[in-house]
Amino acid sequence: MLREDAVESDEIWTKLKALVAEVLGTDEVALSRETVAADVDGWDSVTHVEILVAIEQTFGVQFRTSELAGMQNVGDLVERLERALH
Amino acid sequence: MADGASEGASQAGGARAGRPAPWAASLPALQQAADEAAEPRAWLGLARRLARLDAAGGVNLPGVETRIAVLGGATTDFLLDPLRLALRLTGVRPVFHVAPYGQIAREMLDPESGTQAFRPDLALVVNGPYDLPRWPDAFDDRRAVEALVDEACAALLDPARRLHERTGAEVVLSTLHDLPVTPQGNLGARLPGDVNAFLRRLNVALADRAPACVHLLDVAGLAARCGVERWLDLRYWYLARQPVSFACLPEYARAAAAVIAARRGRSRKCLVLDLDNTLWGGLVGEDGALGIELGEGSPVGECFKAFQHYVAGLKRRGVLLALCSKNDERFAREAFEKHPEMVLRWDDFVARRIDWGPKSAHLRSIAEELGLGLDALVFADDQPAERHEVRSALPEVAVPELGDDPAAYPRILDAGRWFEAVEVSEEDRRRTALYRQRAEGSAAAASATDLGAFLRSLEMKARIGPFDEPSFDRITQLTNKTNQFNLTARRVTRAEIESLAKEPQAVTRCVRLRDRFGDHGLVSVLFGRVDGERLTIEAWLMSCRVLGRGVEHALWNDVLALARGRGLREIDGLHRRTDRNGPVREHYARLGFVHVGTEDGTERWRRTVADAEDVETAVAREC
Repeated sequence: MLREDAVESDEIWTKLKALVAEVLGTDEVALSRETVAADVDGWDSVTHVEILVAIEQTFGVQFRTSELAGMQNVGDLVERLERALH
Repeated sequence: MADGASEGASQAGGARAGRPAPWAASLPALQQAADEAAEPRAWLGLARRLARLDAAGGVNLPGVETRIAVLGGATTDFLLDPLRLALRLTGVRPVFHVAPYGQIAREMLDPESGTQAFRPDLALVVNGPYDLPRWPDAFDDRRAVEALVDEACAALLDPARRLHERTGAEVVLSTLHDLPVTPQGNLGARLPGDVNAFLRRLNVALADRAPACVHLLDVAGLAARCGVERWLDLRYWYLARQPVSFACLPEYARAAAAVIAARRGRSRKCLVLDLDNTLWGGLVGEDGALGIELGEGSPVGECFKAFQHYVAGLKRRGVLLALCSKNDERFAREAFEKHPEMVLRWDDFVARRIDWGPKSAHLRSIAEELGLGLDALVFADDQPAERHEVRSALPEVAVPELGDDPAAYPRILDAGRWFEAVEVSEEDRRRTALYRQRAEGSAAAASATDLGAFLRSLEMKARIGPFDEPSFDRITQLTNKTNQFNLTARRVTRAEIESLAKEPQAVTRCVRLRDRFGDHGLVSVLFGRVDGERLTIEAWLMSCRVLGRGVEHALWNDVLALARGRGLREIDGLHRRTDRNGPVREHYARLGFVHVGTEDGTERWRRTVADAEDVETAVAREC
């Protein structure tokens, strides 16, 4: 687990964008809280799971099944990630 | 957020197709990129980039096109990109068809299904413990459990058989991995009805009962090696029916690709080994034949002995062994003859290059001597410099990063999965002996002043006849794995061979050869069809063990006699060029055929029966 103060929201977004881009094999990806998978080229049901697993590895967290299941957009994802980190 | 219809990731993207991709320039480049992507996430990233490039038509790598239907009671989309990368690396170019989720039996049984319309070469069934129809009660007796084993076996094998009968496709089924928990605890090991006791019993029954058209992918073994809890992350199983976790997906893909590649004749055939610090510890030239570190008494010696046992096991099922070492041959030989812990014998090696010359040149000459392509070789050497020299000079040769700890040698060699076999024939087990005869033959050739005299001295005798039932397996195997002397490189299933043997218009011939050094077994296959007054030869191939001995002439004389007997007017021969069948490019021309046209890459050559004469050959007919 990372220390509470080490993970500012900005840092989460930077890391998240880099990680999504890596999984999708693109150089850059634009994400906001309102972004849904359909908005992002290549973000499908397969890459979705891969992104979740990569987030768990990178941030050292483990989502509960209920958290994995109910994500509607990137905002949900970040909110769960922040909760898991704190 | 991404539930609903699941599109394969391979369909995604494509916008980047125009970019040059150095890693996709050649198979060795792709292999290097895959080796460097050791972590699963990096490997899967490479798989995704390859899939995109492929979808956009940006991949131009050699590969045998293989139509693969993927069926599963899980989300098989997870597997496609990794499978594509792993298959490409073995020289197979896959074309996938993804069957609807959870329809394994229906897709295989229904003649109208998309899977059948696809005409697959192979069906990869992603089956697991989760799609078993019924489970025993933990306290069921053995008889009740056996009834459920019968039922579960039939549910997997019967549809596979039907699919094969109808389409000729062969089927890859998985063995079933353990579940991570059982309510019975340790007692489960004693209860036939325990979930894991049942799964293990089922795996044994599947292995016993699977027909020749079914190949088993040993997922149970893989999952045990990786750890069942790591193999399957239940959260992602419940979320998305992911059958294998990302961490283990590269392992799964490489294992499945190895089975498929073996079926398509892409396995490697010869392991070339260094000596000092590869097969034993120390330097035999300095430490002496009895001073090397090998066998009981030292932990390091035991490592090397275990590695020799692994290598000997490869040899026993048909992998050829060769030596390539910078050493004095006298010392090397002495170690094999005198060291009491030596597992491998001097005679286990069909070719030896023990001197101070560059290893790349030696590997090339070993390949030539054995009549193999460079892409049939694997080179194991503990020295990074030697590996580098071979890699840069001969990128086709597989060179595992053997590392510097002999305890890991077997695992590292095994992880490459280069020598996978889907079946082992009597001839595989005798292969080293057969090649030794060949090598003795070659040595005789070198001393004979004239080739004709040498060939006559071999006292070769051929038995040529139509395809017969006991030979169906060997005919199928030879047809699918022969690359060099193979006019059309057509791959067949056992079912096709069987039906050719029955077809009235078909002409089928196979040749068995023996000579003064021994019996070579079935070495050549030819088949074609008669239409009116013309025979068209659709396939003609021969084992590279007997290249240059005139066996093809004996077979040609036989076909000619058959054509005369049936009153045929002409014989057509088909030839399709591949990157490996260069040796037969002039085959039909040499037999006096004339090139009459080319259609879809297949050349048609023609010979009129009336003016064809028998060709002289040193191969005598037995019958």
